[in-house]
Amino acid sequence: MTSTDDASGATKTPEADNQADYGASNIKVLEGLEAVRMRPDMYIGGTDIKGLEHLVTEVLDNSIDEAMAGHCDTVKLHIYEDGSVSVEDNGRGIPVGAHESGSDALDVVMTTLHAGGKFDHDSYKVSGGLHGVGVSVVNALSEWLTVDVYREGKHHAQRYELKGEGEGQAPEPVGPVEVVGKAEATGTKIRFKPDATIMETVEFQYAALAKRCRELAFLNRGLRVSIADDREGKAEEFYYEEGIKDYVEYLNRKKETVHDNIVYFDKADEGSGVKVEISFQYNRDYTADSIYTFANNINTEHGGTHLSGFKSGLTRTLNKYARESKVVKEKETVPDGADYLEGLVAIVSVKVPDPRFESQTKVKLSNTEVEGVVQQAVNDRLASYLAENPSTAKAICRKAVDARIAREAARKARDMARRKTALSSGSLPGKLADCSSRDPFQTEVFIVEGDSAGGSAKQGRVREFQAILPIRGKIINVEKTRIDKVLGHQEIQTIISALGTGIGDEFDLSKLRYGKVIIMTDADVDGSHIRTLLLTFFFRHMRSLIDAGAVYIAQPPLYELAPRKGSKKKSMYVQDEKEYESEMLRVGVETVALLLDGGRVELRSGAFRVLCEGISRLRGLERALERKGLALHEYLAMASDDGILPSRMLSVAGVAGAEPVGELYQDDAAREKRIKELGKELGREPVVCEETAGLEQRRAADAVLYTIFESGPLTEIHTLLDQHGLAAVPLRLTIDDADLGVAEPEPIGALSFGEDEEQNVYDLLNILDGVNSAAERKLEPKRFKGLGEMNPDQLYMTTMDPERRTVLKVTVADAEKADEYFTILMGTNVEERRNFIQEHALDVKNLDV
Amino acid sequence: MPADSLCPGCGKALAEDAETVPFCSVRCRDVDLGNWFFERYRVSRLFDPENDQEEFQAALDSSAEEAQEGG
Repeated sequence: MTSTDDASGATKTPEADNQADYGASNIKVLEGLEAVRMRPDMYIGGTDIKGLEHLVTEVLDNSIDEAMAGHCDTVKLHIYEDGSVSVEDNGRGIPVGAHESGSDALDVVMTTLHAGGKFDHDSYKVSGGLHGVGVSVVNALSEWLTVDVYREGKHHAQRYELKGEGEGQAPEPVGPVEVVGKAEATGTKIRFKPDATIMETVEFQYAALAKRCRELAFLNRGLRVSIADDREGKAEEFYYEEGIKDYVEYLNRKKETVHDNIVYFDKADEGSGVKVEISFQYNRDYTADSIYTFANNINTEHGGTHLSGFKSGLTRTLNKYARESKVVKEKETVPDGADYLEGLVAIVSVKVPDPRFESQTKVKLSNTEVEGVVQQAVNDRLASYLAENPSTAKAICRKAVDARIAREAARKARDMARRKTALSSGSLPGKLADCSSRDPFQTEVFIVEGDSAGGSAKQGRVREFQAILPIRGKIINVEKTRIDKVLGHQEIQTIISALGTGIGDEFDLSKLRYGKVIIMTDADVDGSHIRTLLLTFFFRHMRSLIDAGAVYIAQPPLYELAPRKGSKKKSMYVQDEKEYESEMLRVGVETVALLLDGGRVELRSGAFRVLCEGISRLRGLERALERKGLALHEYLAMASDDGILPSRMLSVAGVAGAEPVGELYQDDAAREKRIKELGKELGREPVVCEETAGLEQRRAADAVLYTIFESGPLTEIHTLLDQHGLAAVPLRLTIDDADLGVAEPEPIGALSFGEDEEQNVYDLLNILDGVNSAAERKLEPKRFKGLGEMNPDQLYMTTMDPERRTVLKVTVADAEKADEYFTILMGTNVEERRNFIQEHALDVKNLDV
Repeated sequence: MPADSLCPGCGKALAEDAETVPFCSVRCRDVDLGNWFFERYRVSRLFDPENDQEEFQAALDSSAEEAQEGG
């Protein structure tokens, strides 16, 4: 409670003296309170709901002062049905008895402005009630106010009331301070009903008051603050053992946080007597307005010197750490203050002996000495906290780096937008070979990988409506094992400028300068990567381009099949390996026949082609089986009497680390039977899992269930081979087979190239090879390593000519897939990425998006 | 866009009415855009000693050139 000087000895004065001097001092008192009623805004900031809350705050603050001084651990706020409110504490109790002014000390406190004990630093080292007007202002603006003081074994009571109405009125004591009973403990209870003739509203808001109670409990660790509301039957109690650390946790309770640890440190500066207490934690939000500052428990909504000290100390300390820990590399710029505020939830609480505020309502702290003290506290204490909690420290710094990147990106995007305006005056990127038409229904731009291909495309294009933009991936790192490439920032800028749409907030699809955007890259790994980068970029930052169906992928040929000399036919172009094989087969079987059964059976054209295609598929399926640990010829030998191949496999774990053995079964029933037997062998229920289970789980299992999806197609091919008596012929004759005592293997048949030219075949692949060489007698295949190997005419004819080309329209699903693929390529998990790259390097076809 | 799409920036689930699709927020979009501008997105492939020597040398030369220009 606000109190007069404890050392005044007022309590020893007899009550009689109090009564005698009462009348004289009263006049002066009335004058003071009258002034408050004349100009309430000057004292409580207004007569609205905020002013009403301010009244409660004044009384509450006094109880908190007692708590800060260590005399009180419980504060109770009570709202009554009659619209009055009370604040009760278990502090020392306001001094009662004769005061040097002649009035009772209690009356002086309740009725005299600036009468609080707070101007005397001996009674309160720190105090929230700045103006010292405190409770007398509340009294002045109340219809009535009662005060109960429990002190030195006695219960003292006093009541003040407004007499009459209108101007010039002020509350008066109804009589002298009286002892109404005994008191076992100490404390003060003040209850008042605000004056509805002055206050615009007298309806207390529970939520706002409860919020303040909670805030006070957070700010004063160990203090129990309760609130009860008779009007609505609500009640809450707040108590926090960890104070402002709990406050930060509470504020972040629904947020995703950047680090688990809540940072906390405090420091008492001996010279100035300022105490600093700070706690904070970052969350993933992008807002930067969650620093709550308090000076002597007062919520300084507009900050002040403690806030500026905190911000500068925070930026300095974190930047120092970021540099030293190499989270920010030498060449990189450090984040700035704003970057460290993003997602920051912080409580800065200072206790200042002589607080000064910029305005009446205490929203901005202005003590200049506080800034340095807080900054120093952050420098010292936060630095050691970071050193002790490196993972938290790094997470915070990385978050700020992200924020800086975002800020830079936004700036770049704005720059880009400005450059776009320059575009209209004709400054297109130098590399762009623009088209002359501006009709979006006609125009298209080819984004071409590589300068040489770009050159060919420029020569081959139809200048009127085809524009060419050559780009290339930039190598940023070459190691013995891998090459890292990026799409350089110049390339990105060039693309954005050429398309004319702008980027980020400025993006505007209607400004697109071409009807179609066609990505044209080589049919190799690099080309696939560049395509993936471009598609991902479009998907992420020019999404509506894809939605509008404006993005296409050119389909350059992989092979040219040129007729041998003498033929009048034109070259053929094929797009991929599969098409190449099938074309070669088609041409090959026209000129060659397969002789079986000693020449008694001759297979040619249609039927021969079906057989060749079967063998070709067999080659692909062999690899799939190998991945399951199965050898093709062993598997084919397991066909049932009906020619059906088993579709179920059980991989049984080997004893003592031996390789697991794959056992094949025709159906589930047969496999189940085996699992039961396995159980008997083990003497327990066997642990069985599916092939889709995780690696650890599969390793731990006694047996893994596999489905041989290849059984269907293999059964078909096996049947086909059987029809020609070739079921037992190996795909390729290995040296082992040849060495098995047979010096000269028996041919399985012969290929007839016509005109008595025959060639023996010993395995199935011999047949394919033969057909292929037959095709090569008619055609000369040429594989294009890149677009640049095509001459301008070829490139135009095969890939760019709208009449003859094929282009694939990119759908959102395609682009999303590119993004997924890209995400793995970008992944921070080096091991995973390496595996992925290795796997796909072997299987280039899978890279196709 | 399927309903369970995740923001490529922060990995959080995307609100269906997000205006910055496929990102959850302007913030994530801009961070990603920054990654493109700052050349943080790299793709890697295995080094092929037979075919990549030329490219390797070209990369070395051009980085030496850049360093010279920078100095």
